[in-house]
Amino acid sequence: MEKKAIFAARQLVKTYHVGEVEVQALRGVDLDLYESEFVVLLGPSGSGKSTLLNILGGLDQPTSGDVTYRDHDLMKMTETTLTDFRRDHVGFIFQAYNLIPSLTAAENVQLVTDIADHPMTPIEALRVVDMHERKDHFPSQLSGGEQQRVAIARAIAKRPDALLCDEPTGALDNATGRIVLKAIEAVNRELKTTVVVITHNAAIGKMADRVIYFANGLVSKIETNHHKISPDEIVW
Amino acid sequence: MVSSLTKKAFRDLWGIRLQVLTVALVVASGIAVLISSWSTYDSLKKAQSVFYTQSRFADVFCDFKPTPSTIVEEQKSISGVLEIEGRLNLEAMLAFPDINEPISGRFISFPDTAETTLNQLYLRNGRLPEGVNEVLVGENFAKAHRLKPQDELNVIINGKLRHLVISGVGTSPEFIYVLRGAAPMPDDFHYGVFWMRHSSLSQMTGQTGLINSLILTTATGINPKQVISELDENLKKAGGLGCYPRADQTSHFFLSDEINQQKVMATLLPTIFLSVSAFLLHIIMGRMTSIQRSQIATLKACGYSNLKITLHYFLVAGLIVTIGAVIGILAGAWLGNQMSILYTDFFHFPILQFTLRPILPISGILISLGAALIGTLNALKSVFQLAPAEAMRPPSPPQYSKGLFEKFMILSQIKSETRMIFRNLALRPFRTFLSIIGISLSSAIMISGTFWQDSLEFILYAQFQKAELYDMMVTFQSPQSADALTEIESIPGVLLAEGYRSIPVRIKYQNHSDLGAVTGLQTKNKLRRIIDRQLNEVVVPEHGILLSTQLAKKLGAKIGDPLEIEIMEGSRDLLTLSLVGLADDFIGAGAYIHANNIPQILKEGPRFTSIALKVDSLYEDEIQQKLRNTPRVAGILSKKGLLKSFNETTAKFIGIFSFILSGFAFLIALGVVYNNARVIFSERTWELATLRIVGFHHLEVFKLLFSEIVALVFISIPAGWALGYGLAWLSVNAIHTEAIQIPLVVEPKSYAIATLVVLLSTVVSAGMILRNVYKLDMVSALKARD
Ligand SMILES: Nc1ncnc2c1ncn2[C@@H]1O[C@H](COP(=O)(O)OP(=O)(O)OP(=O)(O)O)[C@@H](O)[C@H]1O
Ligand SMILES: [Mg+2]
Repeated sequence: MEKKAIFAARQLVKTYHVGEVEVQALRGVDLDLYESEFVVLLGPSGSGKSTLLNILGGLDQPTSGDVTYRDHDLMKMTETTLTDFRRDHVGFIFQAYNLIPSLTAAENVQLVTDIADHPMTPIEALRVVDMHERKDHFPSQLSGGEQQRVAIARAIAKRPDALLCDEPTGALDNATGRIVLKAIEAVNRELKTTVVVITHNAAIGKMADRVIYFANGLVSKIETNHHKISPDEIVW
Repeated sequence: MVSSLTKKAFRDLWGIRLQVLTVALVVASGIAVLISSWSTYDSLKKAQSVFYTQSRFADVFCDFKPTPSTIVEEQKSISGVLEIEGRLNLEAMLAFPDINEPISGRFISFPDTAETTLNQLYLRNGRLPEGVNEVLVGENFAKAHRLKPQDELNVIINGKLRHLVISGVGTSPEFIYVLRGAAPMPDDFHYGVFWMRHSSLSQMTGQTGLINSLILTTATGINPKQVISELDENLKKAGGLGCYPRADQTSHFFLSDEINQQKVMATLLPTIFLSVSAFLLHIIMGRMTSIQRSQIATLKACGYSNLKITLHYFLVAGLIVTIGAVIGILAGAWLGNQMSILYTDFFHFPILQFTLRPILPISGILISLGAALIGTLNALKSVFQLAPAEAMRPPSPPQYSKGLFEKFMILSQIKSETRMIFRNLALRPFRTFLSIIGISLSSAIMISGTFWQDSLEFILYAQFQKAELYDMMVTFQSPQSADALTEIESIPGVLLAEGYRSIPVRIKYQNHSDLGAVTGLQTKNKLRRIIDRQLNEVVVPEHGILLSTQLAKKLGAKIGDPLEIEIMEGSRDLLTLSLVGLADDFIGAGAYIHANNIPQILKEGPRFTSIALKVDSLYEDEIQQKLRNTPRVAGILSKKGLLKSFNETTAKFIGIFSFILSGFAFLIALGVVYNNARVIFSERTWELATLRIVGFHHLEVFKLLFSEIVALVFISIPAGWALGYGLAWLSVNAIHTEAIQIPLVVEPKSYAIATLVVLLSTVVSAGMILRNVYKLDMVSALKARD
């Protein structure tokens, strides 16, 4: 079966200049990400995983190379069209939840549904992550895992094509991490959203379609899983 | 080797340099206002006293009927009299070939011998008059008419035209503030002072060997009152109009009043400005410190002592205050100097000595520094109280809740963004309150500056539209019979003429006395009314005497008290009148009795000392021409001309004052609004980055952030109006001028200007914040969650 790539990166280079020193975060990455697949990005600290994810999601621009989203060349986009691209097509999850403290769970989701094109209702989105009963709670009234699930609901409410997660379980214990991973897995399975998860936990790779290994600003290895396991079966 | 903590101080400051600048400008405004207003006051005070001493300004002044000059010698024996000088002092009309408006002048003689005299003349240019036809022109008048030595001057004496030549331009301590009897403000175009050698003036006026004025100095430690009572007694036979001390001398009285007002302003304005800037500095330093809460904790965890950290933040605060102080001292000294020049020019002081006492900048810096340090300490205290480990974590998430306000709104209809605004404001009510106070203070400062114009315009309106309804006021050298009124009434173009009789008197009550005039008015007056502060006409009672509230206060008299009235002319009777009413008017210290009582008091038929005219404006020029050539007319006051010259001098002055104040108010408003926005921005950088990440555009994020500021500004505007009215009230009550009762009037215009200044500073802050929103880097904002 021929899979359609939604993201395609070619010879992606990202160089930071700090004073006299030059840091190469990405050294020419070639990578395709396909529709509705679940990808896990593994690699040592500083290998460039976050940098790649930020570029794919339109938060950052590469120094050179090509990156396309479907037929759109992200390199050619302006600040405004990049913002629209994020608004309509990608959802982000970060280690630090990033909820707005002054808004309740439902309102945090509504923040996105107010501006998206064909969004779910906030309740629908919260139901996907099983947080609809806590919809009126403020972030400060929720646990870390619960906050992360609200963040997932907020990210998927716009029915994005891709959900980009940078260490979503990094700040959580195993049991809570498992619940969050189940929510992400549910999004991938039920909504057919392409999911990319950055993690330092190799075990999480077992639930992915593909595991992409990063080292030194380059893709070092890609493994395809023929048998995915559910988050419940992961041994940490 | 610079310690890394010092490096941090400088880097922190550089990172928030716009914030530093705005705070420094607030500090600078406070210090600049302190320095400029006090140094202006000091300089004026100094200029006054130096000029008085150098020119040997007299202590006592006496006016009487023309009398042989031997009377001077007779007074020398009075104990306490140091130096004494007799002179002629009279008013005359002037004629300018191409000016139709009435212009008159006071002519004063000075000794023929070149010896040093009292009230010495200060020459601006040219030389003192020598020849028979030479005259020295007062500087104010010379400026208004661009007169210079060798120019001709035409005087009408007893209806005859005389040609004089100007020998020079100068001034004297007696006429720093040139006021004509009835006029409430200087009018340099229509009224001037002229000096001639005694022989020349007496010859020109046909009063050879006569004098009608004495000036004298008293020995130190002598109470002028004693000397005055003896003099008054001696001068009775010369038709003495009463002697008065320097304190009652018109120019000195108004000048001192003006200088005192400056003193009140110099106390009031810096107090307001410095407290506002200290208040802002306190908040701003506090916020800057609390934003760095986890940094502080980290420093503590690394082993830095509380003292070291406190000193670090003091260094930051000290640097901001220093920047502000340098700007403030420079700006204040410059402004003070400019103001002094402006004042010197306004009063035509011959000498300007700009004095800047070192205590001023020092106290300004200390107050600002103190505020900055207290603000920093307060904020640090709350951080120090936490264990480092706890403080290192970001502050525990604030406890947001749905406000009361929201419960009444249909929830589904409000956007999440709108809710964020209200909840953020409601979360920290105290801070929201402080911000509102800060912004409203800036518009209050504006209002406290601009309302002066409103009050002044109100006085002008009251005085010239409600009280003095005439177009012209003609005054005579001596009382005129009823024929004069008929004669003037018959001049073509005169629509209405009303004559008044004023009697020079000394009013006494217990230990207090005042030299002035009592004017007779009818029950119904067409052209000249007494009005109270509500602009209602005050009717002159048929018996007894009516005083303006100011004068009654000065005498310490209440309604029903018997006042002793000493008539200073003719019969020189002494009568007792009961104080039957008070006129709560704005200008002057008048005394009024019913006109019907005057013939009986003076034992004479109806006579007039002044006549008010309502004229057809087409004939105005001709009427003035005609009056000028009428013998015995001492002066003509044209209301139109008076208003015109007022607008060119005093009004302009107040305009400049308001403009400077607006500048400072703008800086303060900018300081508050921008810093507020800036603090909100840095506290929520991370939140704003999140919004950008989920797909909010720059402008949407900006709108969200700025709506909060706009909400604050809109609450602050009416609060500022109220505060401004309060400050205006305070200013009016702080200034006790004896010349004018200032009414508290704040026109919508003043509120509008204040609002505009706040809005302008909001727009400028908006620009600065928008720039920050565009510069916001989502990726690094995520990394540095602090
Ligand atoms: N703004 C920046 N300026 C300079 N260098 C940077 C910047 N951002 C990232 N880098 C460098 O780029 C490299 C890749 O960083 P990146 O955050 O992508 O790594 P990562 O794989 O996500 O690491 P980790 O697993 O620790 O999150 C690192 O060496 C980092 O130091
Ligand atoms: Mg990373």
